[in-house]
Amino acid sequence: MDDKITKQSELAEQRAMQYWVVDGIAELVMGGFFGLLGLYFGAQAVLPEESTVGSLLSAGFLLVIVVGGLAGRSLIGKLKERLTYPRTGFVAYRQPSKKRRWLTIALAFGMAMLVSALFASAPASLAWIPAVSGLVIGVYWLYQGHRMGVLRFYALAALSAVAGTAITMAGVGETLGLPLFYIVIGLALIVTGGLTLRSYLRQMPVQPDESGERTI
Amino acid sequence: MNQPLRGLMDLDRVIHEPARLTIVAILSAVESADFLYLQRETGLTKGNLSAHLSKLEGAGYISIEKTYRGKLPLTLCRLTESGQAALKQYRQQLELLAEKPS
Repeated sequence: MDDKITKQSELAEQRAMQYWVVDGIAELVMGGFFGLLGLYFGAQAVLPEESTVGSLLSAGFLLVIVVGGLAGRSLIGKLKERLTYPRTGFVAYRQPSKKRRWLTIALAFGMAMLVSALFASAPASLAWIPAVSGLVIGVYWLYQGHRMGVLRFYALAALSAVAGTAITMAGVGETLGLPLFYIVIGLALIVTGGLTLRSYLRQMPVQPDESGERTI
Repeated sequence: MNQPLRGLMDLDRVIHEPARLTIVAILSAVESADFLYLQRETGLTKGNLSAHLSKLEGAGYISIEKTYRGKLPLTLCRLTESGQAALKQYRQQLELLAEKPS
């Protein structure tokens, strides 16, 4: 029986995590962000480095990531408030523990160092950037699919790895390969997110009396 | 009465009820959740859910905060420390019961 209770708790936790992606909004916004990142890399590849815009773009990478991340988060919140919460309710998630947060930062930093060291030691391997990006992003989706029990994330993981490798194999080079990869992944996320959102909106009508809580 | 049966008698009846156990399990996984989410997840009617929430609140296992999100009224429920402890104890009691030979 205790096993059943543990399973019930684990299921409740997994369902709560699934709830974050039940409407596809996070994927849509992330897809938009990846698409813009692809255009950013594309602009960097096209514009001469010595031009003012080219230099600004190169210098502003961290800013693009931070601002994009914050804007995306805010946009997800606003869309959920308008579309999701009136239909299926509101959930606030626990903040990750300090230990987990530091572990994530350390892991990301470690991977960035490893990849940088690899590319620095063998400049020819730069052509593999799309494939490496595809694998890293693929592993991320694989982990999320396993953690949340969401099947479409496995498909995204496979697509990411395949797209990255295919772009590298096509020999377009990292200058055009990286923007191409991010645009492909961005479009894939927009498609899966859009389909998920459409299905969610069809299945979940707005609750006419959201304030059922008045009965408490 | 033998020991395992006495263990059964000691179970926390507030949590032991399946609907309330479901609510507590859901709330143990999140920071807080609103009435609508709990209703969808548990499949309970509004009246039933309200009654169970009141009972859990009365036992001090959950806190209920009435607020607004934009113009919409929102009832946020969260598991209190006492509720977390009660759930933990309940699971430990069941574990002990499962270990004892019948």
